Amino acid sequence: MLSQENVIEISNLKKTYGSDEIIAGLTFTVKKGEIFSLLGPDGSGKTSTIEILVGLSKPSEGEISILGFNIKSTIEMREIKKIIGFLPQEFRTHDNLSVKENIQFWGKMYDNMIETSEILSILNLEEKANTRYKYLTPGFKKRVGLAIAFVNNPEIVFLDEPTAGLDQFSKREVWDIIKKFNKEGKTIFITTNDAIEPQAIADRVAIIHKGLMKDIGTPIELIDRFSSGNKIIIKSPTEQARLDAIGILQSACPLEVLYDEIIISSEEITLLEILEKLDKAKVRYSDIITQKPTLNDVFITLTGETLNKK
Amino acid sequence: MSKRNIGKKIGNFFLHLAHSFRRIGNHIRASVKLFYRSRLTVFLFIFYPIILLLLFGSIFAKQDLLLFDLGVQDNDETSVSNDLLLKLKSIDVLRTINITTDEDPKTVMQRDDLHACLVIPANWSVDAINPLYSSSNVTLIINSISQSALRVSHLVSNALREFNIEQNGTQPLVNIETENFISENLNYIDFFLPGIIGVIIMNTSLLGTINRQTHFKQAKLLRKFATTPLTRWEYVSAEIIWQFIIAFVATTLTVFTAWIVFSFSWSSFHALILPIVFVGSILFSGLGLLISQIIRNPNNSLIIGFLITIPMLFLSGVFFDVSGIRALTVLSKFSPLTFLVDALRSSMITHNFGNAGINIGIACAIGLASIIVGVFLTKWEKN
Repeated sequence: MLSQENVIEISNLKKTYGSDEIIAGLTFTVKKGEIFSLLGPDGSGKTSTIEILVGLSKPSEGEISILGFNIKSTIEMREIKKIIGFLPQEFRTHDNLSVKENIQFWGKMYDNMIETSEILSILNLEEKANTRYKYLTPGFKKRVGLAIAFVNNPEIVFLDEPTAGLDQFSKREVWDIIKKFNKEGKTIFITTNDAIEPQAIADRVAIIHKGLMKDIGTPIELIDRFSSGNKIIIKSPTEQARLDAIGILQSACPLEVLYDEIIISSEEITLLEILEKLDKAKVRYSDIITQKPTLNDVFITLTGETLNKK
Repeated sequence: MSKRNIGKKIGNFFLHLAHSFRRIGNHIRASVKLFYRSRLTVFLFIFYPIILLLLFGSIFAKQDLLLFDLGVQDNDETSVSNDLLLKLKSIDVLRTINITTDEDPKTVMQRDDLHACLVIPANWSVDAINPLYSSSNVTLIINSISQSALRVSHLVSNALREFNIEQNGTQPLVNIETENFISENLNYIDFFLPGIIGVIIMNTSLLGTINRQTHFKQAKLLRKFATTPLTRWEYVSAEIIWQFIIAFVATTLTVFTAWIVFSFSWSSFHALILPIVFVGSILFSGLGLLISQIIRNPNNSLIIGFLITIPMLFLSGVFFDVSGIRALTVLSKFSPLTFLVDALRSSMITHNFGNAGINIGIACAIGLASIIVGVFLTKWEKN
């Protein structure tokens, strides 16, 4: 449930390392109870932003308040640390402690730790409670990280790329857990370079590139604003078939070639028309799919680059 | 400020303190579990010192030193006694230190850490040259557990034999009465054990701190700590207390082994050892904290740790007495382990508590300075 109350207010945030400007002036707010996502490619300033918010580094310029506390004040930062949770990008904890012991270890650093059994239950970790951390799979390790991020019953939780390196199944599990906590009223701040993630769980998303805010809004708003309908993707079985398809279709509509795929906007031509043209010219294809636009398309429109530079 | 506000502030202070203690306790509890679940750590910090004790306790019974100090009190002050002194001074490896006649030789020995002292009694030369007496006695006070004292005793005996021959042909003119400076029950292990305790404290606290710090840095746990209410001071306090617990347990087990295997005299073990172990933990945890700041590659942490500890082992006279080697005596003052071992030996062997106190003070000052600098250099955020 969203309220209009801002729990994070960032104004003209800048961060420089020597002559490198990592964050070039970010301004945005995060509302109480929302899942807010910071979307951008590697090196765009996401982790630097989250590190400033959790007190791991100091801003070079700008004003930030979290739940009314000014992060520049050491005393106020101490108060902030009591009411936030954080899952770093490369999270590790004590290898030789069990899941339960690790949760208790981190939980007892706070004054208001959630019951271990409760957090184990929420994270579906009961069966692994007595397993040492080092023996867990990456998916379970991530769940332990999430358990630790939520162990102090925080008001805001910061998750730095919480699904990085996980398979699709584990990703969905993590998203479910995040949504579960969000339903309990937690505000969640996520950074990601995966366009699907904000679409799957975020209430609002801010797109950043090279330390600058490109746009902010709900995923649907951004897609509607910057994408032009569905995409039709044609996959060819051979190089020759792909060249033939390009030859046939490029006179009918603008198209884009990405690796072995031909991508066409559905606003320019319908799927039926494409099929007719290819059949008529007897050009073979292995697959034709229709895809809804993603935040990656929005990102491409805004920056001319893709989120995953690879 | 109203009484109510003052009361509230005091209440908050104690609440804050209680939370700090809880976090420190929590950190120590986790350290205990992590410790006993790592076989290598248990071996390195508990069994290794015991093996060292058994090994070196058996083989380091005799040592060769290059220069020996001999306190000399000449109550006779005649040309004959002077001849004897010149004879002693002519021995290259013997350095004579004059003790004035108004001083108690044993007090001077304790104060100046002398292992042997020759006392020439008043009117000695009268007896020595009196034909009615076949011989006269000088007294050699020695610290019986000191290997260097035994060597000094041997050298003085030789010198006196030559003196006898020079003065009176082959007839014995001067005899030595040996007087033990310390309890007769002490043996070599009583000398060796304080050194081993020093090594235990150094190994657990210095290597332990370096190892844990670099591991925590590598695992990015320090960064995660920085986002919790745990403060750097709470963390450092917990680490020192933990190192103290390990050092204390290892010390107790080693002393117990020394008692079982080498019949260590419990009379040497007294309450002062506990604060010395604690100060040692502060000293070496502080140094460990400092050193871990300069270690960039965590894989090198143990190598660097050993590079630092091994020279200290030899400089500080753990296995053999370095007081006879001038260069080493100077260098040993740069080794923090020296102060700890000296404090332990002063309290356990010579019962010179003044000297023990001075060494504890120096060790404590170095340790606290290292901790303060280490804490300020420890940037969790940048780690």
